Amino acid sequence: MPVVNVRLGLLQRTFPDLSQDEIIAKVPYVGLDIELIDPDQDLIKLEFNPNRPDFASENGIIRALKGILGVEVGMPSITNIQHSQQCIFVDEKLKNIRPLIYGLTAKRKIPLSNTELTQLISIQEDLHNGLGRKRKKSSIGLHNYDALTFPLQYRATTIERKFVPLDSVEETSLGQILHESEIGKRYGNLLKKSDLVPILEDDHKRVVSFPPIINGSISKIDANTKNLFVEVTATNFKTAKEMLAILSYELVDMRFELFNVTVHSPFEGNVISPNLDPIIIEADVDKINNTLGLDLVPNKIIECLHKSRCNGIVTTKGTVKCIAPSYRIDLFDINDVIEEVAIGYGINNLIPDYPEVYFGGKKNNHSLVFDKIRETLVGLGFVEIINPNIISKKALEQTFIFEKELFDKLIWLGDSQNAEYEVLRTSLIPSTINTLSFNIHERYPQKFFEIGKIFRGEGNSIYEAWSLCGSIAHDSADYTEIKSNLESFMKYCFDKTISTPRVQTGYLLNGHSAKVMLDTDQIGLVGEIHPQVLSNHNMRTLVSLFEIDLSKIIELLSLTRQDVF
Amino acid sequence: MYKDEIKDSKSASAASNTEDTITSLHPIEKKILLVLNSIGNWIKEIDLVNESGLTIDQLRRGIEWLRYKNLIEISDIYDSKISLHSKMIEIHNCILPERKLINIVSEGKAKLSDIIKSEPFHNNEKEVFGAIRYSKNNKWIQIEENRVRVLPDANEPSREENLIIKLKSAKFVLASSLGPDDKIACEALAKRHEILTIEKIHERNYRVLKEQLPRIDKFLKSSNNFARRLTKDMLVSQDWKKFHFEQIDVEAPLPLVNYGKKNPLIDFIDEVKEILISMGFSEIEGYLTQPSFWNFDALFIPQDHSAREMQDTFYLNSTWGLSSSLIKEKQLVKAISSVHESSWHYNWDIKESQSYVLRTHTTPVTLQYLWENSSEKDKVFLIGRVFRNEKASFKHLVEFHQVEGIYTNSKATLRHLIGIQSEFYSKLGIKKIKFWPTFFPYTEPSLQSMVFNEKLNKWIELFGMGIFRTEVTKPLGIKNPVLAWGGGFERLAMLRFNLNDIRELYTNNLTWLKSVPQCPL
Repeated sequence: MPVVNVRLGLLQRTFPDLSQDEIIAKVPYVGLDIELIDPDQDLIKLEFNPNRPDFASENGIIRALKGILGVEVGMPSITNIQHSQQCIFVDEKLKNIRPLIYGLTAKRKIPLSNTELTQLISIQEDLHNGLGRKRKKSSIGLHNYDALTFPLQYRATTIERKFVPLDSVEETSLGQILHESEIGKRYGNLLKKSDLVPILEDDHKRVVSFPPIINGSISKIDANTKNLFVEVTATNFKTAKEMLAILSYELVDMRFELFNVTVHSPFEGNVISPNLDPIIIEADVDKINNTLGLDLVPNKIIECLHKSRCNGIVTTKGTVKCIAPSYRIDLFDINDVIEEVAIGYGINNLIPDYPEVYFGGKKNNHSLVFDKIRETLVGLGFVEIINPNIISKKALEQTFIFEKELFDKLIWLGDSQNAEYEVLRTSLIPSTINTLSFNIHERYPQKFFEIGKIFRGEGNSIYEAWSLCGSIAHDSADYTEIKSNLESFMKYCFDKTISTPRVQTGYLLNGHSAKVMLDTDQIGLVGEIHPQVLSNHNMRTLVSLFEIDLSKIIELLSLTRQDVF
Repeated sequence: MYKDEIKDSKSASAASNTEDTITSLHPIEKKILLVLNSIGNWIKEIDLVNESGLTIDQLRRGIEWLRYKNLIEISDIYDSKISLHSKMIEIHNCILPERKLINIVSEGKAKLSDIIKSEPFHNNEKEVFGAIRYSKNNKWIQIEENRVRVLPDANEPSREENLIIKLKSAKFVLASSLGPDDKIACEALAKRHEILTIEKIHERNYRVLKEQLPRIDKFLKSSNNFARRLTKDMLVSQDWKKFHFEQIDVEAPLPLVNYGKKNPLIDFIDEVKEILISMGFSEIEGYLTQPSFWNFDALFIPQDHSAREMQDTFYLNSTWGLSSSLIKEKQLVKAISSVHESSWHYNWDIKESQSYVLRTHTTPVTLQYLWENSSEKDKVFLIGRVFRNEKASFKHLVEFHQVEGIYTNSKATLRHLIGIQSEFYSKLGIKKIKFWPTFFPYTEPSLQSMVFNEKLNKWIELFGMGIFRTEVTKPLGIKNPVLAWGGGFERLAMLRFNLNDIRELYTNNLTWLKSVPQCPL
């Protein structure tokens, strides 16, 4: 989850009537996690969930805290966006490239402070990565308004076009940026669909921006910038609008005056941005109360919404209209309104309630059968082990020597972060031998069993089944002993006898291994582990084991029945 | 000794309440006591062997029993046996080099070089210089311009020579019997090469405890037959009636027996299952390998969501290529794709949802259950493995267990969810709980629970919960609110088993497996 730094001193100045501890205690109740409190650096690090990109800034967090602490309630609204003549013309050729652009201008008498500059860039980063899906859906450009000459042209061009990119003095072609610069390589794939690429240029034909890669150097913002031009380019109109809304509120909190920008687009017509129309969701009072288990009157519900920085009005009887600021991109429908009411009401004020409807709980059939299997094996002196389903190819190869065809049926994991996690196990035997080799300094005899899943590819889909492996290790462990244990298990657990016709398989000692048959169906193998396999695992003790397919046994014996009689 | 064995908490030296425990003597014990009784004083072990006619092993066993019964006392004597080195006797004829030197000089060879060349020293310079050093110490000689002059003291034997004379006649002497001069001589000679042989000896002596004599007498006079143990033959022949039975050492600890047991983690899972079943939840189960459709799409997670990326999720493939047909789900696929497209404004791609993943949570199984049963009211849970493509560490596993439960009913409320969680935690023994708002893509409202751990003295984040979004339940055909909660299971297990490293749960170390008591306090 992304993290944002908030100054403790600012919190204290904003809420002078509360102690620092009281303020911090409330922070989790707006949905933020406290990662770290560092009084020496005057900051608290807060983690926010990706559904609340408005929490990407200190100001956004304070806005929400003001509500829940009752200092400033109701919807924060921006009413005074001033009209301007500034406009952007959009090129029709951008249709399949990155067709959308919106913008705004923000003006202030005093220049940006360094803190504000850092905050804006940090918000921009968070919005790019989260909401913008790594700039794919939409991305932001922040510019020094005074360096530009309007109107602007948002147009498609070839990669031969040259300009001076941000933090550079030399002219570079767009193609060079795409293929040679770090940032171009990272985001260039977003422009692969066409030979043409988007640029934003001002009335003097200077490149202001090469979205979504990099800005031009002419409009660079710094600590002398007083007036800002903000543009958002996008493939998705919704996220673009949302990003601009979040930035609008941020800039107003920074005491900028906002001016609109008109976009002349062949796809959307003439659009005036930013569009800060509030989000309006109607919610049934009964539905709210039934979901929360409360009995709130409409006015109380509205009071709760106020604390969540939304407005509310009673429309028709039994319905409340929730009016939320446009940056609340997480609000879709009534469920979301209900959560806002709950947060405004205070989660800590919700008293636990217990459903009275009766349900008779029970274990599922597999668990019931496995319990009996465990009990039987424990009675036979086996210790239960558990191993991961994912193992390394090497572990398979060390055990399944001479079993080349097995590797065709493997299920592979894509792009694992750990070298030892490569494939899904096809058998419990490799992990069992591995466990035995881990325990060579422990007392013998050792008897282990594991109940686990095994996997193989079957055409385009996956065979996934329960398996059981029992193993015995000591200086004279042999076929007779393991078979005797297996027969005892089958007899005591299922009242079944098995037959064991001879079989030849790579990892079991020839002449000392057999198939396990339940009537006419093969359910597994039993035998002594091949000495080569043992020495592959540095084992100096003999091992005999069996592995049987539990899913098959359950099916063959119809153990899915639950009848007592 | 193996790590799982019980340590002997007391030494087997003496039993406290002897009066009550001794009723009989073993024949070996009898033989020993007869000898000790007749001697009445300390007797050496070797003598006791000879007198009693027992083997050394029998004797030592009998002595242990008698000592345990507190009838005899033992004294251990540690000494050294000092004798002349064989080379000293055979080669040097018991003459020290310093005496050889005096003899040669007395014969007239006073020049150092002549002495070295002389027949007794065989050009052994080292030996000559040693001899000079020792002679000087004895004040036997003076050296003047490479010539040796003998002093009058040389006529008297040195301390060392006196000891050698004694050893020559006595074969050996005990270190403990040496007088003060001999002791000094012995120490000096012991440092020199091949003069003395010193053998450390340990001698044991035994005698009866005086205060126990009346009892010993009584035992020795008793004419009963004693048997060490009851045998099958005695039982069948009824001979047991003729015997008194030997008192064995009932207090000595013995090696632990091998035993079979359930895995501690599985056992703990079972305990938690029992709690949930007692709360009316029924268990469900499902596949670990799931189409992305069920793991993500059905949960209202858009196809470009970061959770779906390779660094979080294990995507699966095979030689033949893996892809779920989603034929059974045809209608559902339609409903879910339209929910995605209308809510998230993008083109939903069925191919994305057909790829197989290792489930990143247990929720797809819950959803499949809801879809197949279209339950109006239900209460189910599952505890199963889930997978995350993360670096494994002491607090993160790639593969771990998740516990998850749902409750659905027309009148289910968020307060019920808080109530169910509170009850569950209280049954686990967790008393202090608080709830905070949080976010999950598929629940709204969403909460997370914090529990206070007394041992760690801090709040720990435990399970998340919420009410399934209607975007999730509606396509599945579920009309009523579904309360859902869940989270990682291993965190609970670590607290339960006092582990600091989560990986220990899966190492299958036999010592650890056996060390977890079946019935923890």
